[in-house]
Amino acid sequence: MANRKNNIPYFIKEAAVIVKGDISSNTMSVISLSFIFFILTILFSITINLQTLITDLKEQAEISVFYEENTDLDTLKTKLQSIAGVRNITFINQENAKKEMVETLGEDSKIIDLFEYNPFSPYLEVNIELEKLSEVVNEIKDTKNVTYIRDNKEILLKLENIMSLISVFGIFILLAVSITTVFVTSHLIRQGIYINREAIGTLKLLGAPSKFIFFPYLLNGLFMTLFAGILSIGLTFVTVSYAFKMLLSTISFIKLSPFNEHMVVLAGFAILLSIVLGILGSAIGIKSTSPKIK
Amino acid sequence: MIEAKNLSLIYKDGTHGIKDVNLLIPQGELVYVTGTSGSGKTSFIKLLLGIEKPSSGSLDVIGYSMNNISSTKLQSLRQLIGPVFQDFKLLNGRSVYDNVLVGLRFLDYSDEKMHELSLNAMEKVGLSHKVHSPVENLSYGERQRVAIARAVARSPRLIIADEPTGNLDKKNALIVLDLLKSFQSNETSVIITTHAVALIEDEKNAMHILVEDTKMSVRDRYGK
Repeated sequence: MANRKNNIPYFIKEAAVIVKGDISSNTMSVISLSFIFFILTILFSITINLQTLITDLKEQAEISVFYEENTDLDTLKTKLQSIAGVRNITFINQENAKKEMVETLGEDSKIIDLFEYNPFSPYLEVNIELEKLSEVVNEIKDTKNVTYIRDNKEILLKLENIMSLISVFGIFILLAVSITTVFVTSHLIRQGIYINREAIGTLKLLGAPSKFIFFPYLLNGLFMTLFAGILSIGLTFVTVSYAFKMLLSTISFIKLSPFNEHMVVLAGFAILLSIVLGILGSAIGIKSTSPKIK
Repeated sequence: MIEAKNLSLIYKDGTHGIKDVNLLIPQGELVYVTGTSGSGKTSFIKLLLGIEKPSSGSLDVIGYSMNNISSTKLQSLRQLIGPVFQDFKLLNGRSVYDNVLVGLRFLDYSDEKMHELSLNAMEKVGLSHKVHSPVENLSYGERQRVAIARAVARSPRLIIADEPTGNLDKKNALIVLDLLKSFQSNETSVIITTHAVALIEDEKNAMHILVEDTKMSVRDRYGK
């Protein structure tokens, strides 16, 4: 097709004319699609943050080993160091144990001030290879003078289970969203083509190539899903920023994905998805209707 | 330019559009196709534009065989034709300029050339003062002139006007016929269908095709 580049403003103008021709259907479709994309981006946000949390917990593959009073620390440290899977051991005295908790709790640490004495016990912070967690924990348990071991094993396992559940659920949601979006878009494009069938027929009689005739309809579908994607980003921004504030004020030590970067990823995801599904839906709508217009 | 041999068109419901037509229209000819409503004039136009395909016989238009013409070839052929439809088939919601320009956009012209050709065509049909008017705000006659401008802007090899005098009084009908005739040249043939025989019977410098009950009889400009 000649003048492909020169025709871009024409195609955009035509797409606008097509939208104006059926403004109510287009508006309703954009609103519906924006809610669909919103659900998906929120699900994506949950997945990313869970992943961040799991990665963080894995990186902090440390166990805290508590011991009886009057234990010879050097002997205990030497014993623990000899266990396969132990990387290094740090002694955390009573003061440092309190400091760590104050840092973890943040503003909520004021509660510690209510104690007239330091309620924390000294312990050994043992950095380990995560894959050997069970073996290491079992061996340490049997070590003389060890009274209690604190590890993240159960939390990690639970989170990983939730994560795989969300992943499976996410795939279903993604499929459902994709099919719905493609269906809504293709239906709207078919409707647009039907409404403008006389104009399309005229262009055919003038010898216009199909690409020239139907490109504005492709743009129509693309703009519609893109606009819905942008709207969903707005909704997601409001929801995620509220959720982050709520979570961080309730569970101050929770590790979440950095907000700004997180929003960029979510926006990119929504935009990319809306572009791909918009083009696909429009193409299907055009393909199924265009041969019927004489 | 146009050659029909034993050409017939039978619609799906079994009615005859045209029957056993033989004719030769040379390039650069002015042709009037006359006949009463339902005689077969529109069927002939539909065949020329490839809206219908011959049921039997053969039809060649500007070197394209219309029997089993591919969609790509039909598209190329239509780009050489300037059609003026009875109902004009203008694109509503667009301006006069946009309607004229749309017939050029997919042809091999630069922006400047398209602009120039459109303005020239609008000037020729006397619509220079209505360039940006929406077509739905125009009178019947003005809308017809937009259709003519769209047809001629692309300098077609063949202009086909279907019943351009249909809803006009005699004075305006003659103005439109004169306008269409003015685009005839050695390179451009003009085919005009009309049931108003009285308007063209004195036209000596044209080929006359009379369509009666789906059959065509041809009288060339020399009266043969």
